[in-house]
Amino acid sequence: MACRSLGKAKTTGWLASAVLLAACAVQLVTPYDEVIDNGLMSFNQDFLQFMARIKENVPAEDASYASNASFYNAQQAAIATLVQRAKASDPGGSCSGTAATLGAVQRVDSIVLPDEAKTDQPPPTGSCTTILLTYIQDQLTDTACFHQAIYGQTSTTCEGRGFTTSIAQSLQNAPQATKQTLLGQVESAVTASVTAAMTFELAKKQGVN
Amino acid sequence: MALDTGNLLKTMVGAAEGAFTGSWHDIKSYTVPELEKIASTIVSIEANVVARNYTQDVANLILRMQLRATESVIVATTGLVLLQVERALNQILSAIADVVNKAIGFPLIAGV
Repeated sequence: MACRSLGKAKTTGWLASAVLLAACAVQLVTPYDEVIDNGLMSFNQDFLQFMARIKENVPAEDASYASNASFYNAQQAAIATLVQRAKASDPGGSCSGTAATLGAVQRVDSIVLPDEAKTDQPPPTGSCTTILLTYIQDQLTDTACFHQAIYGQTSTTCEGRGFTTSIAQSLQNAPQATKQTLLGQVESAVTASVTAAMTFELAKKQGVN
Repeated sequence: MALDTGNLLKTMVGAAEGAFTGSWHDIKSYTVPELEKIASTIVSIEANVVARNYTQDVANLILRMQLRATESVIVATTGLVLLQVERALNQILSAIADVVNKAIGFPLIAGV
């Protein structure tokens, strides 16, 4: 018998949900996807190698954003493809199964972030996998913006995310140690987001624990 | 054969027993250490502001990345809990499938 997810059944009402619960194996999250798992591992390895090289060589020209733009283009395309795949596999998916979870995510946003650091972007939606991959996309974009700013540059995209010309100038003039520290903190944020997605995908593969 | 509520409940509770113990294990082994790392980085950002290495604007931008990392950890934890719930529900359905199907005379609970 074909099985359906509870998430899709909820729109048909509680009675129908109960029937579906009784008729099928319950599925609350999208199944394990080997392509996404491998894509995340590949991205993680490439990103860590890349950041190690950039941190070591900043502020040399061969570590500049301009000299390494192709890396960002390739990785953004790779992650965007994974996001598309996750969305396609569960178009109506949702991760906010409980109001408490959604509230926790919103509280994190509202606790400390000053208004000037917030963006107008709506929070990502979709399955847990889609949301996690979308966060990685955003983290990579901010990484590229910091990389540009360290070399005194910004772009229309980065200005829209708060990376002004004056910030770029201040970072360009910062000592090498400050640039390296900043890049390390950027790297740790991206790594945390990637680890989150990898942990979830691996748990799906292993059936949790 | 008539179904007995007490026996069914006992079977279901037995199947559910321990199904959620993994949630706390996940939170202890994944969520807490990840949040500790992020907290440590946020402290480091503050120290760099105090030392005038970062302007407030730069600190805000790097803080935004750390908060997004925190959101990632929360979403992943939610996913792990949903996986536990999924497993528990299927264990419960599986535990009562035989007895319910035999009593009713057709496979009401199938594919679990």
